[in-house]
Amino acid sequence: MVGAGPAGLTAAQALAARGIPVLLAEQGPVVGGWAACYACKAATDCNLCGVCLSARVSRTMQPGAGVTLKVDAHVLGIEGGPGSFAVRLAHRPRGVDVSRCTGCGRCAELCPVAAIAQPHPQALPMAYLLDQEACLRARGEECVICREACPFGAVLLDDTPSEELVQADVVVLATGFEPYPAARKGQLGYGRLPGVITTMDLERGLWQHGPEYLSRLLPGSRRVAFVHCVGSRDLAAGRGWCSQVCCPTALRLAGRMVRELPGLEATLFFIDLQRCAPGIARLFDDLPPEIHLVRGIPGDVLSEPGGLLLTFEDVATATRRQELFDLVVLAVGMDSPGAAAGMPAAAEGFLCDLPAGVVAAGACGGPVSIPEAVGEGLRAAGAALRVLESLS
Amino acid sequence: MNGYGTALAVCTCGGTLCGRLDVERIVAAPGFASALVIHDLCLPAGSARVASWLRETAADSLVVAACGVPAAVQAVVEVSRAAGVAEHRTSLVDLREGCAWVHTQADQATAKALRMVASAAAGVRESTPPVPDVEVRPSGRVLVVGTGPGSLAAAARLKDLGCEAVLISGTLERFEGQAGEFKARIRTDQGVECHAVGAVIAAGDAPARMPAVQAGQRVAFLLEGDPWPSVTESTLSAALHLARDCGCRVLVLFRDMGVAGRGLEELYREARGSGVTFVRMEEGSLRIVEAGGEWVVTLEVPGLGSVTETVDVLVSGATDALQGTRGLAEVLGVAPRKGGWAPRERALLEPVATERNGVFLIGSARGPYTTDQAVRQGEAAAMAALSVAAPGVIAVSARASVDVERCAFCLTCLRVCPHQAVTTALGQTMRVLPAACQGCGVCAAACPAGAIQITESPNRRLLAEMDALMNGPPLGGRPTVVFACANSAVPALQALGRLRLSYPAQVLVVPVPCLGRLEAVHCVRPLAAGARRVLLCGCYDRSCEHLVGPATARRVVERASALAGTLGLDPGAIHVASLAPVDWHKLGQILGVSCDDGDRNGGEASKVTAHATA
Amino acid sequence: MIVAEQKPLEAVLKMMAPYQRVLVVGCASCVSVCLAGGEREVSVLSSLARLARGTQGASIEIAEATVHRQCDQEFLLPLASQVEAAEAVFSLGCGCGVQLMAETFPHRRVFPLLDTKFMGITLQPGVWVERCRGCGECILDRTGGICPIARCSKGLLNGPCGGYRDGKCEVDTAVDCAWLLIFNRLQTLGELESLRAIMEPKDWSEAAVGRPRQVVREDVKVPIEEVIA
Repeated sequence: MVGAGPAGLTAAQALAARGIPVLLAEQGPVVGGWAACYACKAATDCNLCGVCLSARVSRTMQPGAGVTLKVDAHVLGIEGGPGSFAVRLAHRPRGVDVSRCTGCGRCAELCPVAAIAQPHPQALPMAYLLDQEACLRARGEECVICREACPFGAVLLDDTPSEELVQADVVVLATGFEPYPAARKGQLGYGRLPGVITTMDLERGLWQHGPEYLSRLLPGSRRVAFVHCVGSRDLAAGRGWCSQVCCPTALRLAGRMVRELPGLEATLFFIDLQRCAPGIARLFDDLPPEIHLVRGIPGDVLSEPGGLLLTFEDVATATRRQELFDLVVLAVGMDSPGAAAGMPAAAEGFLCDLPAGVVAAGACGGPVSIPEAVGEGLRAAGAALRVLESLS
Repeated sequence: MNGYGTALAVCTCGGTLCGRLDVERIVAAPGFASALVIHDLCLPAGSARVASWLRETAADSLVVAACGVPAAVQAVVEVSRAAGVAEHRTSLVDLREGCAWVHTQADQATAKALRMVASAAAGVRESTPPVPDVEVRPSGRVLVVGTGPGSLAAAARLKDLGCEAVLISGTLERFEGQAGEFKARIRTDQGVECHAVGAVIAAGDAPARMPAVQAGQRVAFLLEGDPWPSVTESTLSAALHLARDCGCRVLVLFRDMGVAGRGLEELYREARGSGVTFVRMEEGSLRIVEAGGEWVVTLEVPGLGSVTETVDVLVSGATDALQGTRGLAEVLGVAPRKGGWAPRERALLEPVATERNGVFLIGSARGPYTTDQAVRQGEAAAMAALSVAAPGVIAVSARASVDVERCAFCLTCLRVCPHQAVTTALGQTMRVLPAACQGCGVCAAACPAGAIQITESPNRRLLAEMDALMNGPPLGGRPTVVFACANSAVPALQALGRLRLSYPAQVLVVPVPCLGRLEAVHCVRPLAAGARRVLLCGCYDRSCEHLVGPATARRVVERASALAGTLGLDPGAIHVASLAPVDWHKLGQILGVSCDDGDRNGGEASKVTAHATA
Repeated sequence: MIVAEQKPLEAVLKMMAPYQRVLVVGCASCVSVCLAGGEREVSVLSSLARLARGTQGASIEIAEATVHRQCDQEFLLPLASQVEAAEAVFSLGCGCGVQLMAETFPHRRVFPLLDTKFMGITLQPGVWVERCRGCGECILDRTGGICPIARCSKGLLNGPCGGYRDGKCEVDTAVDCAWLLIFNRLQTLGELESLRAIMEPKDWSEAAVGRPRQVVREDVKVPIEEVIA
């Protein structure tokens, strides 16, 4: 099982529950994928974004229940066929022994350069991470404070990359997605103009800092624009597909923002509003008066003395208009995570036509929401089980 | 045979808790037969040491004060098993995230720790042995309702996985029982059929879509209402076929083009490229007049003025799929009940499952999904059904039980259960179906005879734990009691701990499986014992896995506040709050701490992301 | 079933005020089903009363008991020693239960903690409605199974008063017009014609007015002499 996002975790647990031993390899330091760093987007009531669902999938992951979890493990190559796959894994040095770290935090208390830290407060595994670049040892100093301080001998200062070859009967790829690199659309100013962020930034900011993030981001300001379809439904950008989740996400984020920051006005710029996700139709029925809808995507974002100037074609009135905003949020689409270990992919980059015995689950096969990703995990587990039954 | 008394083990997490708590005082807590300090419960050596000590003490119950990480939970289970202490006679106190890490003053933290340990001990003493496991023997048969692509995909996948799909032609009339052993009654043209099945996968029927159009005619499709992907799919397929293969002139009138489904944007693009004309309607600008068997469609298009088209056939899109399967959902017991208690959207948050274990909704029975989505859901549902319906024997532990001696047969439990887990029949007693019960405790809170108890926290145990928590060494102020829902508030509290964000030691936490488990008297009792505030922290209405938790809690608080007023206590001291498990900031706000600890919190999280994307 | 409602907590506390040792008795029958007087209510009410006394810096000893039915003496007799030990008995039974309790233990004060309301059904959790007035002479066979005496505010026997609006009663707009319901039901049954028969005035001497009523089954009744013998 490659990838421990909502789809991979679900598939691993579903297979383990049928008595199939599962090796779950995650390239990151913790499970949960992107969804583990999303914020709750409830306004007055839950808006069914699915973040709790993904949190539950991570939480119910029990140690030693048939799933062997390997974090910091990247797949280099997959060879062989059903019943005889050889998967080459590369282990990224974490600097901490996951099986011994209890998360006590003594190392972080004493580290003079804050190079060792817990991943995040709901991380699984909760084992700490050593940032080898920030570590004093990277500058040639012989600092061993953290190793000496650890009551459990869990700090591995000389951790090095390693490789491992594992055998598998079936391979499930749940490698997820990458957000569209918004900086590629230079005219929108991402990475160049302060005040231009992406929905992913906003999600993570809210998740890390809570509503204070909003007031820090927007001190005293009150006009925020959401630009939809950044890297979606855009042949010029090489992304012809609808990413499906960004419209509901923008709407939910706007809903939470106007609720948390009184006086804030949000304008959504879109082509077609995809508002069929669960719970979204209702949000639409009583759209707060602070959320405005404009059909038309701004071509560029300019920095003006009064704020960020958006120029757009308002389709409803067929007029060219300009408006000033304090914050521009780009609703970025879902991109493929890149070719996974040499597996075939469609022109868009999403996995398809996989060889026998290899199953794709979740967003690596195309854009999905969190609940859909969990469903995809179940589906892939079934597909994997079918391959296993055909082997025996 | 085990002896008597309760043993206490305190883990210091490698000694790191010692400075924040007076561990000596905690191990000397009164009422324990013996006590042990260890430093590494969650590592194999530590748990082995606790196991051998516990065997020597010959205690019959165990309280472990450590942390809440999965490894510690696992260790307690293993230790008690190794030493022969029954699992219900053990209790794990989250001393680290729930006390040591979140309180700055060691004396207050120690006082709270003593109360937590005493509370756990009181709970263990009041625990009841669990009802023996029940065996469910599914036959491997799964009922598949519907004729759409999703149901066919589900049936095919079930067959691959060694189950038998029972496809029916007829109407499902009755559906009862529990996951693994449902009984379904189906009315067909020939009469009535009964099937014993382990699960049901209900899909909608295949859409019959292609309108009656002759080659060369002029056709307009009218897409009003929400831009459902299923409607887009059927409309665009028909429009493309008519324009490309039948020489029709095709016009599609729409507001928003719903392309949120795999391949829909591509289909839209192809239709545009094949001669289908798409015109966007804005609010109030469309006029349709019937004249001599033809339709005259007039539209105001911004910037273009008025456009008029005459067509032979006008196809109005959008059928209400959810409405269409409402009757089916009601028979399956997953639709809103009388009084509208069950918000249907909650079920839509799950990929295929519903609030009733073993009942899966897919395709148009679930929402306006495309063929591709329905097929994927069908395959997912087949796998999910396998876990309850695969042939074999499943041992299910009962999470709630009925004392038939006390039961008044008032049917309250049957009516309030959000999971269809309570049943009765003529001549039978009330029964909680173990494979259907999800342990929320809503029934236990509502039972007028006190006849239903949930195994995990019978009422006597809950009250004993609360009383012990409220009485103990001084905390430096009047306590605030927080009832914490296991699905939302407990993980959020744990996150506050991991971030070492401090809140007052007067905050005393009582975990509950769901806020629906609480009665008014649970809220009043702490107030009468001197609490300053009582908070019920749980999920939002629509995110509550047990559907009715927050709504029940609001009613309970209303009643409790009135009672408090009558008793001369502060009627404004009891509150409900909703939050998500990932929203520890909101919990922090409620408890009065600022969670925006800028650098530490943010710095670490961004490192993870950097690491993940490296 | 008999539907009852708990008296307000203030009233309960006031009745208990003079006593130090009391017995609270629930009934596991009708009033348990309408969530007013079952075992849980006994325990909740008792703990609230203790808390109330506690907040005044005093205390009260409350013994709790719940019997199958307070309206049968055989269930009450086993309480004798608990009644003896208490200064007063507080009953969570309906009016019948409270009276039989007082009759059974004539030397103890017995207080009612419920207001007995009516004979009715559970409409939905938390809502009970009246369905029978015990008029002593049932006419449901002629009214499509809907009782105009219990459900028509005016108790009319021969059609509606004409004052209903939108299907609701003019006396209480929360109540459906019983005669409209009867009409619709009979229409469904295809028996509208039966409404043409005029119903004679009822014999109200059999109803709940005037003398207390009794039902005697001579075939079942055991002569009191035989019991003594």
